[in-house]
Amino acid sequence: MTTNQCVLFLEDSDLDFELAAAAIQKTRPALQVGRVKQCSEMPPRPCEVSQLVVLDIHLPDGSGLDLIPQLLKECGGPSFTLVVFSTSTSPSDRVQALELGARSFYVKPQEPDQFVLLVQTMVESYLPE
Amino acid sequence: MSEITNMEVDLTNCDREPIHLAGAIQSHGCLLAFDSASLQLQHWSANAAEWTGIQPSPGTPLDAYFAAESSEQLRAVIREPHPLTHPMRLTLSNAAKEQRMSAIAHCYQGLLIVEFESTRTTEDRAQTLFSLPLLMARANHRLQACRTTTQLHSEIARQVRRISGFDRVMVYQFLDDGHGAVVGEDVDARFEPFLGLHYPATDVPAQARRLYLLNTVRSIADVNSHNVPMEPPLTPATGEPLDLSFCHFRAVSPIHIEYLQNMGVAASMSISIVAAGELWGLIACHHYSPRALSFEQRSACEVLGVMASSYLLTREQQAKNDLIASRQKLYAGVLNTIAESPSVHQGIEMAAQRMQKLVAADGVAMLWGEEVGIWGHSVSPDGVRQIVAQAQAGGVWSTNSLAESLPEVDLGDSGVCGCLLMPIQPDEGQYLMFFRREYAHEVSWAGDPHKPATQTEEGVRLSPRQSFALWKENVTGRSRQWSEADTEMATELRGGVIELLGRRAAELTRLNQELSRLNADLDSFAYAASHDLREPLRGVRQIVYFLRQELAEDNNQKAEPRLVALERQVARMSELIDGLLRLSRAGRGDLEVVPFTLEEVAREAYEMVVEPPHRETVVLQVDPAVTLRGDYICVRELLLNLTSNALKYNDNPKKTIEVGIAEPPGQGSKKPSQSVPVYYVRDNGIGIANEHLEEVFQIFRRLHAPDQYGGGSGAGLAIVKKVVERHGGRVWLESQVGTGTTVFFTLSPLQL
Repeated sequence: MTTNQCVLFLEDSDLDFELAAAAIQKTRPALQVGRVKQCSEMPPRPCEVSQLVVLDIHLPDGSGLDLIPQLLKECGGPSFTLVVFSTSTSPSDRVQALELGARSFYVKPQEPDQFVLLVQTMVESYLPE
Repeated sequence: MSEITNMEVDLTNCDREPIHLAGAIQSHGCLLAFDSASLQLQHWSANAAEWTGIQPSPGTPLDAYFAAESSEQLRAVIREPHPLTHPMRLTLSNAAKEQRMSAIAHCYQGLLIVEFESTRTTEDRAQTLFSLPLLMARANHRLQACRTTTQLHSEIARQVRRISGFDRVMVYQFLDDGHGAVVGEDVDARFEPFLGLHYPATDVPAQARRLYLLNTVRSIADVNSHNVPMEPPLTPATGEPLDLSFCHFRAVSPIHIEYLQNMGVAASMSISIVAAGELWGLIACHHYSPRALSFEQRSACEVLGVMASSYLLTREQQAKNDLIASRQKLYAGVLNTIAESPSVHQGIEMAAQRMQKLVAADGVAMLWGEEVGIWGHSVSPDGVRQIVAQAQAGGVWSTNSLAESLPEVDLGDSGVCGCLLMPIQPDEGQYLMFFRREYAHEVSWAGDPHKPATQTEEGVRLSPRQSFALWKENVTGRSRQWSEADTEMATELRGGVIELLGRRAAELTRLNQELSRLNADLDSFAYAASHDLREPLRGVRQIVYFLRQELAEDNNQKAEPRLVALERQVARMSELIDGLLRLSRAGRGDLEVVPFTLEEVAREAYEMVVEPPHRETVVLQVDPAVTLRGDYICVRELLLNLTSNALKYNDNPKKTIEVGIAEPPGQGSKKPSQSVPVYYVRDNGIGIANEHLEEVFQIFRRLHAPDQYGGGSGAGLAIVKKVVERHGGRVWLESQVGTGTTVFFTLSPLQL
């Protein structure tokens, strides 16, 4: 594995990003954590900088779900993983995300402790040391 | 005497008595009848020789009786359209008896009929002629000045009395069924008034009423004088008696003479009051000594009769219009009251008293489904139901004798005779009805017949008081008839109430739709609010998380209790929002009703609530045979909440939840019929006190402190209620503190 591992968040909530970054910092201090705040800021080929993209759904300029087909087209392959991480509990959002090719659909826990734990587990699953 | 005058007449046949063929005239006049073609004498009154100085015999020519000028006047009458009567002065040709006589002539059925009047009755002719026009003008002014119908009635009597000089002048009005009443009177103070008395129809028989239309003034100068027979009694050519329909001096029916004699009347006159071709009534004049009027006076009275007719007609039309106007005003008020009431039913109750005035009723009753309301003079509530059951009325129905029309109705001692029934919505058992009391009862208050009866001789058949008594007998058990105006008003009222009911129903539908929309809006609002509130709340928790870490880095432990308190508040708020969200979800979306077994849904709810480690201490018992229909997700949500409560409010080490189908005891009116299944969920928990059984269904209503019994939002039973109500069912509780609670519910409407 390269030491250049990076996870990229599409996340408009500062608190959510800060908590996620803090969670990763605790268990994986070497991992780089990147962030874009809205859909339009997403680089066309994120796989050039990141191996794991974590998409929120409801963003100021659109839905993270809409980015999935284009991102996977540009960054197809086993070394790139795309997951959805949202507050939505809607079954249709989940089904749609998975059908479009997202590896997993995570619901953001209400409890910060569980939130931290989930982010750490997620990173460990797709970007093992 | 002719056969006709010998005919036996009594009360039973006087309706058929041919009084126009009286065969005689009164003694104060003389009559000659000539064939209008040959101008030869055909009939004469037996006193003709005495009056004319000529011995009459059949065939005597007209010219033999009269001077040339008079004879020409009479020929002119023949050329006139008959049967108009023509007043004139005639000169007899007989030199010995040459004198000008006051006479009237008319043509009828091929005969020229000439009547002379005695000049002895006209001693004050000059005086009378001088004052008559003035009297007439004054009478006209007086009648014009009358403000009410009652005033007009008595003024007519007063003016006729002034002109005619009779002791008593009455205005007699024909009412329902030909019976009549004295509605106006002017009488010499020596005599008892008859004002207000009613008389049966037989007092003025039908054929008399017919004759009164033809011949508008009749007079009898001396009731006790003998009639003068006509000669010959029958016309030789036809074998018929002379028709005296238009004769002023026609002899009067013996029964009428007897009637007058009974009253002590010596002379009488009656003037017809004809309105719109109908005999409205009579101006009846009585004198207690013989009295003959001149033709002029009679004519003045006749004109006064016509004048009176026109004033009466106008006044009555005015009164009718006033009545209609006041009823319309009242009607508008009544409908307004009903329209503004919370329900039509309540509105009618509030307006009932005024409503009865609309049709001049004495009482009113309402049947509204099972409920009966009665006001004023009414039959009993049972009687009201009987009337509706037996009248079988499709539209407005009326009678002036319930006893006769619906003999099986129990009228009790109500005194009610007349009934006007209006079906409102017969399918719903909604009826209105009006009542009237006995007519005689009403009349005995209206008039002034309070003086004791006059002394009458034994064997007298009729007198005014006896007539009144007879009339009262005739109308016993009857109310005044419902007029056309009454029926029209009732029909209008019925239409108005039906329209209001329709409007009310439409309004109810609109309100229901509005309510559904508002409910849907509220559910959407609750969903959106609770959903969106979750986000900032999550943020607050994250901030607490960071704060705790940062404060720990600074070694600041003092803030920890605050942080704990903050977390507890946030957790509580989170619970509430979750509850609200679940409740709003239970109310949203369309129901998808499918069949499923009670066991599968109860089991799934159980597994969602009870974590595997606890399943040994929480026992679920479900009746495996029960299938139900409903929205699966909603019913699961319902059972989930009940299961959750069963566990939460339970101190037993071994908790049981029993789910099945039941027929619960002791629900009174709530007790469902066999056809609607009642499901139950029974636990062995802490139970709920009776006084809280209703309020536990309110949202966020918890009976315990937030930290007792595992907390909770208090939305559980509100969600249960919502699910049940969306299925059209009912939910209720039975509980005993310390023993457990049973929740009963149905998923379709109970049949009561």
